[in-house]
Amino acid sequence: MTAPEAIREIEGKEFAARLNLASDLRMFLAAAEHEEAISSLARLASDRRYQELLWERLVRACRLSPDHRYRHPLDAAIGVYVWLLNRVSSPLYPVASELLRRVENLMWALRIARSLSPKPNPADESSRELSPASATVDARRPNTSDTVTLAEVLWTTLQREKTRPFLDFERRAQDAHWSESQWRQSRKQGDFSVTSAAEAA
Amino acid sequence: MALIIGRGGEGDPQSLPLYTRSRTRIPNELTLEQHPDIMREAIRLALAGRPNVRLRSAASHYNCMGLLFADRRTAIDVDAWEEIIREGDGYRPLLVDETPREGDVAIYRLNGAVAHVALVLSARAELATASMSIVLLSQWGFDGEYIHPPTEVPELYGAVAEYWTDRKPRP
Repeated sequence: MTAPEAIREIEGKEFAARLNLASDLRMFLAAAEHEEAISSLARLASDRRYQELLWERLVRACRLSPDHRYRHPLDAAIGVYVWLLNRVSSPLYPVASELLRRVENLMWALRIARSLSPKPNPADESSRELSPASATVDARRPNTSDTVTLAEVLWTTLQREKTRPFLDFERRAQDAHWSESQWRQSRKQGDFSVTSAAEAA
Repeated sequence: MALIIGRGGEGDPQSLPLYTRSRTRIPNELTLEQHPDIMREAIRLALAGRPNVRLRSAASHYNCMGLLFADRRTAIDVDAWEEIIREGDGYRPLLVDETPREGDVAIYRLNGAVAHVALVLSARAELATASMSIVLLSQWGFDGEYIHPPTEVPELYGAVAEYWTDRKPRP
């Protein structure tokens, strides 16, 4: 099964209905292990490009505004994406887990995130390259912190970088100068430009 | 995702104060209903290829344990079954010479682990086949409540491994 096929399956109603047969998290994860779409994505997810794809789908799903009367229609899918990111020790997992704080009406996804602890491997050079910690905005203060916005910034940045080798991300993030005013500006405009320290000067 | 110390416990606002007869707190979690589109699909899947299964309710805010031990109000993890049934509420497994009766509890196991619980709705002896005809009522995960024979359940639940009862012998 290709990644797009697996994504289509995981975000489908039948998949949600099947996994919702689980009565608790242990059974949900056991059922997930037997889903072909998840096995296929799990195999691919060791590749950073597919971690990026999972992240992109996760952010997209989290941005849906669910009907407040019901559970999020992509609850199971979001849970699976978070679980897969954790399973491959993706450095995107901690920020993905944070992102869920701002999403309403989740059940499985929250249970999964609560049951998992962030486990990026600091000794792994390849994982550091994607580390969201390296893209953390220093100017984040209680009055400006917005996890979803941060997640969107990361996502937007990743999108822009698609044509470039992803290895470049950490260097650019380290060079980035995100001022308080830019950060506030980004929240108003819904976009953010990463400006290097040299450009800012 | 707020950090909740003891999910489903006393400090969790998403849980009900629920106790066994022996006053042990039962961890539980209130959940929202599933989206109607997903429920339609869930019911279609549940009934497909299972001719003897009937939908009782398209409810999705409780699970099988919640149906039996919380009057359909909330969801309780299946792993809590032993503490509730054996320790808390004084159930006992049926003896070899006993047969299930209305109100008893069927325990499903998959690979040794408890995967599902169901309530016995009716149980009668079939003389022609020298067997018991049992009808169960259970909530299938969060996919609706069904009336079904013991063998017609999703594979995820395995098979009925034992029956438990709270019946007391006549004095």
